[in-house]
Amino acid sequence: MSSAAEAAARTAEALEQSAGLNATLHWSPELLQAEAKQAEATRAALGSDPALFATPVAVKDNIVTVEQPTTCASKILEGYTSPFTATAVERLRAAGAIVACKTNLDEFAMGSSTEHSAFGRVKHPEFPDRVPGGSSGGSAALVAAGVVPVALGSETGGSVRQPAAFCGVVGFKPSYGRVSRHGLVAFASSLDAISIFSGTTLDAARVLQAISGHDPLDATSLPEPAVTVGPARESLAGVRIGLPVEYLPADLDPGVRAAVDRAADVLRSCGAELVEVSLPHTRYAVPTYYIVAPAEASANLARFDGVRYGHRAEARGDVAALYAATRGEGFGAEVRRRILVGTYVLSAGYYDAYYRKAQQVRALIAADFHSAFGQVDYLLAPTTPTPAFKAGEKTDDPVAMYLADVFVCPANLAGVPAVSVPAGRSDGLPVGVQLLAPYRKDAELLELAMAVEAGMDRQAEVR
Amino acid sequence: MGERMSIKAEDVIRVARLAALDIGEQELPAVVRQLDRIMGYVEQLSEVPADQKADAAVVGPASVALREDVVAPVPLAHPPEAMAPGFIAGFFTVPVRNTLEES
Repeated sequence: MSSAAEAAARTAEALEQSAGLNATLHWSPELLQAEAKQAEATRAALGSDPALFATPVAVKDNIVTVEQPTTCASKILEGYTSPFTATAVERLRAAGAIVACKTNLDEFAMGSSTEHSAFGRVKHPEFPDRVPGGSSGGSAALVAAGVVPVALGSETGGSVRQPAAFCGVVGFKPSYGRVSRHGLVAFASSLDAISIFSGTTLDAARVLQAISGHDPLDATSLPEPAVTVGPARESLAGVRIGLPVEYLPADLDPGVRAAVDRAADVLRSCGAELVEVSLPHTRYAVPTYYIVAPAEASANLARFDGVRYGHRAEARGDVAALYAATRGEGFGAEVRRRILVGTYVLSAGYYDAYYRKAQQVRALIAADFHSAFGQVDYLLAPTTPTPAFKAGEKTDDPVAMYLADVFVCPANLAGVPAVSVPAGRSDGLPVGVQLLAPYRKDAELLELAMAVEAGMDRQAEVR
Repeated sequence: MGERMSIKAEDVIRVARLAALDIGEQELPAVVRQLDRIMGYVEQLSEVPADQKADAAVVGPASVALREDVVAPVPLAHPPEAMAPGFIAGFFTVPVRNTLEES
């Protein structure tokens, strides 16, 4: 058996064993072996091992592939298969990787706990009564469980870094436009970014090198070649790291606070200077996000009407009744809520008060980052206010759920790159810290993150 | 934004119609409550003075890179005719309807 075929067989076994997590939506041993054959063919054509040869990669089920369905964990897309494959997936295959499976998510990537999937919630791999975070919870759980070394997720408001922190793995969101969005089912187009889960920062860098670079099929893709990430920074002499005071409130979970302190110590021991900075509009990030993202979602999800894609209701009457019945029964509660909010804030009489206001504040949030990066090179902050919460704890109050994203969504609003690295455990539960860099400084950010990762014991109690 | 009016059932019904989304009568009270909670929460943006402005948030490339305006093969796994119920001479077709009364 070839090495790629062996990797595919091992992955199939691991996927079988991890079925209880409910982290996967589509996979088969046959497709895995076909992927392995393709990886071998890529190697043969190249004459050497491609960069990600025989590396199994799980792919969030809102990233389209020809070989398997793409449902976005929604009944409305049940059984839908795309006629084309996402650029990021094509590039993974060109680098010799094996697409292992499509992973479960909050429906259309709307959620922070992967409890809003039409196909059931994803369990935290270590604490089954807790959530793995979301919306890319399936991808996070599979990497944390060791089923795959790397996985693709997507971020609109922190949907990779937050579950990465909850599950104790690395979660990297590139600069907006760094990775092509072609083939990522659109949620909020000005925010969406294909992002990476991995066990180590080095693996995240390897995947970024493979999938980044300009793509003419995404008009917002950066006109730059693929990123090259260097080795971990050895000395941080002369590097200034900002600790934003707004990210360290008095009521922050003590374990999370201790993890940030520990990361700060690691950075100091490498020679970096840590200084307090202020991002004064941080408190408005969640309300701004929950106007901008639903507004864009209400437009992007208008295409799911029962005529062009997937599920169609048994409706009588005119075409408008068919649309409304299909969408009413095809979308889950959270997606419907966001479509309603988005439609409300864009409707006549409310547009200026909500949508235009949110755009004004979004600009102020981006300006906060610009100003902070005038004083420091990078920022260090907690990824989440608490470790993973219990399943069902926040499902009755949408705003309580939204606040789980309070520290992650500002980077999406500003478009800057950010990475969450495991920083220890609080009462046994994984916690993460995030590092943020100026726009387009993705490689430099990962080199810094490698240094932080090297100095942290991710299994140690921090409290 | 001034004093916010709370969200009422008729607001949800109006927005649901705009969004082409059926909301069942039984679930309407819960949807009204949740939307009111969300809109009440985002209301805090009104604290930010209208004259406090920054340059528009720029994410992504400085300019949108348009593709060359040339006809090229569509990079699909299956040709369009394989996905269409009918396809003649490069065009999608719909089935013949013999009479208007058929439906």
